[in-house]
Amino acid sequence: MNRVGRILISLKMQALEQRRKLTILMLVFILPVAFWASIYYTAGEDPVPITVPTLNGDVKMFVPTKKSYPIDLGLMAASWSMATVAFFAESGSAERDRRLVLCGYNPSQILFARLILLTAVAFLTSVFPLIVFVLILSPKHPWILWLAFFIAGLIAMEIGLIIGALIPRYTEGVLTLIALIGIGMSLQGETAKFFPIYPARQLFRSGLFAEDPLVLPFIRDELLIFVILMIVTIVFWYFRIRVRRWS
Amino acid sequence: MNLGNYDKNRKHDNAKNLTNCERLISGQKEPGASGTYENTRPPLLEVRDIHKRFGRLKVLKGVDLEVNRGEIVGITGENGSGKSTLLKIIVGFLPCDQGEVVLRGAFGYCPQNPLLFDDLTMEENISYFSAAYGLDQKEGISRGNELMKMLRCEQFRGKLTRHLSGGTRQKLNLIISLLHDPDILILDEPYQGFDYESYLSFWEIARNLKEGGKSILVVSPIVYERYYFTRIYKLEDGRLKHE
Repeated sequence: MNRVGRILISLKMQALEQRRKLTILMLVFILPVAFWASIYYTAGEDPVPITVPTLNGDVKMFVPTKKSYPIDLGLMAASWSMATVAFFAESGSAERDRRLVLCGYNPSQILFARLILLTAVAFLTSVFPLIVFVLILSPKHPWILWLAFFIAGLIAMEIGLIIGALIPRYTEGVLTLIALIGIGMSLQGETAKFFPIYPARQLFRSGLFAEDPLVLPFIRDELLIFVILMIVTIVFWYFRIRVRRWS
Repeated sequence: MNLGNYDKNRKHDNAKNLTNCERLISGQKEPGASGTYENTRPPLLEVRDIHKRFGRLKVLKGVDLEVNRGEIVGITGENGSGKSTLLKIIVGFLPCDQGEVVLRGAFGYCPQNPLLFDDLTMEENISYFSAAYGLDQKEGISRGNELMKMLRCEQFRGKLTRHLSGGTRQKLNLIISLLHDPDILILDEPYQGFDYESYLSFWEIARNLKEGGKSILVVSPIVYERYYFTRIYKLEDGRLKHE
């Protein structure tokens, strides 16, 4: 069997596994949506100031409170879902993946198949909230919102994979994810810039409110973060899955 | 050693067109093989001076072992004596602090805790591991089916692994280690949870492998049928002692 065949088999088996974890997946996607909806429908109409990046520099705007919440919460919710799916994909099969490697799989073939599968999930994860947001928020540039969701999903996927490789036990891993998301939600001002999905958040604001949105610098920044996290993911993955070949 | 490169290691009897796996099922011997296999070739497994410690606890203090072709070697020992640790080091799952292992030919490893994909069926697990061994999918599944029949679990082939009983999971664990027709089988308590018929089937497979010139290293805390084994060692105080 050639490399492509092995990757395809791995992709098929990982997809089958994820499909059969339907209850977990449903909870992972419904929980943040329910959380977001409860805040959206209870928030007031009082205007709050927010900074919106545009092609002509940052612009301060006043938007109703209920419209300002979705910016952070929406992205955080999508990130939580994606990071959790990635974490479960990685954490649940770490030792089994090692056995596959022992039997002849190349670690890169399993990881590549997993990345393809999770990218597809990130795509689906970005489409569902987009539909909700387009219906409720009437964004100026829906495609930018989609892009922000998709990029945030990819970054979250890498975070989930890293935590899955570092903390293979479910309970500790999920608690770490919740803590990370909680920290991300509470970060304000300058410190928020250090959170990996900050550029996606700025992209989201721009697409939601700006007439002339700023896109490229945020994509560039997220691409850089994506590459750095991918390197970390690969390093931890190889560390987690390594076996010794004696001769 | 390249486990994934099955085709290179596979021997084929052109005259009778039997693969080693088919021979294993039928109990026929490999050409040139006799009940006592002639060991003119170097051992399939050589373990030299293996040391391993976990923190302050020295588990292995210089383990030496050789397994020749056509031998069934047993290792016993108390719980926590380091039997599984030794096997994990041999197959490469665990690094050792000192020592060396030489493995000649393809090996199959059956870990103590079945490492299986719980959300896949038995057949899907077999298919996935066949791909790992580099086997053609049809060929892998066909071998898996034959082995399932031998171990009396073919009726569960479409069942999710997480719904299987402990004994059936262990059978699947063993089947996976046999799929690629390895030269040496390294088994960590392979028959725990087996019913008596399956236990006998296991020893039938083991006997056929031995007669075909294959080797088996079995770890078990208790050894009942000593006559199956070529040699039995006891792992005590971090070293192997001949029993």
